Amino acid sequence: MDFPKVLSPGKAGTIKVEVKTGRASGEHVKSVTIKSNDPNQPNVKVDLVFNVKEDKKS
Amino acid sequence: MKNRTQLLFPLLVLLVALASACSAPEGNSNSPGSANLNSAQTPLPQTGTPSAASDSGVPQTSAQANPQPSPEPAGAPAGPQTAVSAPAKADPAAVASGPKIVVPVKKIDFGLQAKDKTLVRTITVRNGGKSELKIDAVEPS
Repeated sequence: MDFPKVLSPGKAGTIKVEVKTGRASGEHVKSVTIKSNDPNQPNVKVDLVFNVKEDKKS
Repeated sequence: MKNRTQLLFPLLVLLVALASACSAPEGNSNSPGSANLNSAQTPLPQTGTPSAASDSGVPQTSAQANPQPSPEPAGAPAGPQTAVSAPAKADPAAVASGPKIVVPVKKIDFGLQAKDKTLVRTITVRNGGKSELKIDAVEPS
């Protein structure tokens, strides 16, 4: 994943995340954890939610 | 006649001396009287004062003991309060001067998706602190 290593005070950056839906249908919840030197929140979890639709039988 | 006057004059002098002496003893008598009065008055107030002091002293000491214990318990909770507040104060100080990660979005909903598809999204991260924010890793979990 691409992410900025250092952010100056007041600055913002973006973290590019990728997730594969796979072959299982239904709702899936995956997550990524951002680890930083923040003393109050060293780990920030971001949930990635998607719903894989079923194949249509022809 | 002269002899009589010569005899009376010393008598008068003696009388004046006695009068003055009596006036002095009168003061002495007053002073003992006053001393007695004082002694009588002094013991009364003294006995009254000590008794009042002892009577009021016991409640006063108890009252003083009451305020003293009240500060003591106040001090006793103050210790724990200061003990609890001390780490709480240390943390905000460290947090205030340190970095602060801000992630506005904690949940990304991709909605309905097809199978075997790669979903790509960007997460915005901001440093809301006062020192450099170092992102060590971004790990899937």
